[in-house]
Amino acid sequence: MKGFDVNRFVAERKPDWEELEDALAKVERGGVRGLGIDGAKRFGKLYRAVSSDLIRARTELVDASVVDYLNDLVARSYAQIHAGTGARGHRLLAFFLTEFPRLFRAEWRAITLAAALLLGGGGLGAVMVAVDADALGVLIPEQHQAWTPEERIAQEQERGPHSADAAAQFSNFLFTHNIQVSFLVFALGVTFGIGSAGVLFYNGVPLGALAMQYHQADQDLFFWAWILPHGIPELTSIFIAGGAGLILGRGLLFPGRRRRRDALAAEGRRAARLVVGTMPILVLAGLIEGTISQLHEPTVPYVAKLLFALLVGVGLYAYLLLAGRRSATT
Amino acid sequence: MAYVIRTPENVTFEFELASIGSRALAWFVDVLVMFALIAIASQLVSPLQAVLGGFANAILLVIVFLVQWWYSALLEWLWGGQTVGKRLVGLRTLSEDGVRIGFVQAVVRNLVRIVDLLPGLYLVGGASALLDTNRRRLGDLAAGTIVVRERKAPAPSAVVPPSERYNTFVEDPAVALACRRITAPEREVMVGLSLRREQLPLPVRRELFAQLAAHLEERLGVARPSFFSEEKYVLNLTAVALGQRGAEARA
Repeated sequence: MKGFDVNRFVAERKPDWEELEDALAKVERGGVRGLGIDGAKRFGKLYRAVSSDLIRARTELVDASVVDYLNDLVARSYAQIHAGTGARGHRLLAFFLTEFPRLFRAEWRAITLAAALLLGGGGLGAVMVAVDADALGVLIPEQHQAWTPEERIAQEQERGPHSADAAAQFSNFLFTHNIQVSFLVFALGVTFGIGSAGVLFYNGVPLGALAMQYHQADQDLFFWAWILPHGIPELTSIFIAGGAGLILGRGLLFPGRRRRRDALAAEGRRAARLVVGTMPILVLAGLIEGTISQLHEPTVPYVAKLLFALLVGVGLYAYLLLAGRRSATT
Repeated sequence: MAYVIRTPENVTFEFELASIGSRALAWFVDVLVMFALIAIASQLVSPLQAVLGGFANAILLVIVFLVQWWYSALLEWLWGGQTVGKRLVGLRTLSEDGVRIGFVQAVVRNLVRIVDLLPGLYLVGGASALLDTNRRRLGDLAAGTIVVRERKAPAPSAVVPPSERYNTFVEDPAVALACRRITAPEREVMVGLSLRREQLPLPVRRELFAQLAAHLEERLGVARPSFFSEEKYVLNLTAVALGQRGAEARA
């Protein structure tokens, strides 16, 4: 008890605390910008003063209510002062316009490997069906088996474009399925990447098998016009998510000088950014799948659908490969 | 449980980590909100079905997707780490360095939620939060976030408000003498209650001051003038006791 007078302490310092509280309320609502230059300087000064009040209050064993109050003030000010720069909307835009495409290019090896795994599965599926047409029954989900290519084409063409309930339901199933596959291949990266690789390969097999089935039935045009418009963005985002899973595995397998835990956390953040970037691509795929992919001849010629697919593909890869290059130096 | 942050100015401050129960409650509220949103959306879209056919389904599909995967992420991003549930329960997601969470952090922790939800009833996330020292689920670990309890501590009040500085007790030598018998624990209780008086609910405040006043009256033998409320009586005695200590220290 060396003469620290709580009463005086509170009475003398309270005006500063209240001033900081007012400034904080303003900053929390409208950012530091709203304070002006002098206000911002004053804000910094008050923050430091209140920080030392907190230390003082703690060392002098002042009543807990005072310490709690000051702790709260310091925490809130700290969050504002160290919150980084720029408007939030701007940072969001910057993420999709520059950061994500750059990350895509920086991690092209992992993404290409993921693509190779899935397409490798597709190749295997195709070869298996080519060798033995009965293999189809094992490789393809039951839903598709019920229909031979001819039946499906007849079925799809018969339907008008606006009575596509079943089709929409089916694409609903596919859409959620694809999101789940995306997340699964990412999350399974924690199994040292083995799970991701397995799921990628496994999901390629029925695709290859179906393609071969339609090829054998001489219906390539229908098949690719059916798959490609939404398939290009969809497969691309699965490749990216798969690459993200492999990046996780890489962190676990080759932590380098880091602890395995730290490596996982660091690579995890990188990988997660990639998965976040695929979200708009998945939405695009879902929209196309619900609409254009369900239109068939005679409503829309298959060539037009293929051209549309080409357009989507060129646009998508132009974005992934070119966006954010110019501002790289700034 | 406290989560301590040390600032570059070498000041430490702490957050109170949210308990698993309160987080579960917030999540339950959020699930209800999401269900409501999807139900409303499907009601709005269903009349469009006649006009748009399959396209209406595609719209609904995208809405469900947005609500399912983006509800929490967007709200936490826009509201500084809070969703409807977190607001009601009084929780907030923060970056582990104590600042507001960024967009990518918000999205990552809410995407990894599907792993946390496995194999049902939030088992993976719950186990992770139980084992981790900072109660982080996998999504928090991946995004580098923590969930804390919001508490807005009201400003403490000085013992003698400036407007009531006149205090007859200060000049009364009998009271001054009696106040010297106040023990350290008693003084602590008096100061503590005085500082917190504005933060207490009214009945609690009255009851505590009444008890303390009764105790002091009996111990010190200083009668409470009838025009003093119990609170005023305690505050004035506290002011005298603090004044004495201040004088002793200066002497």
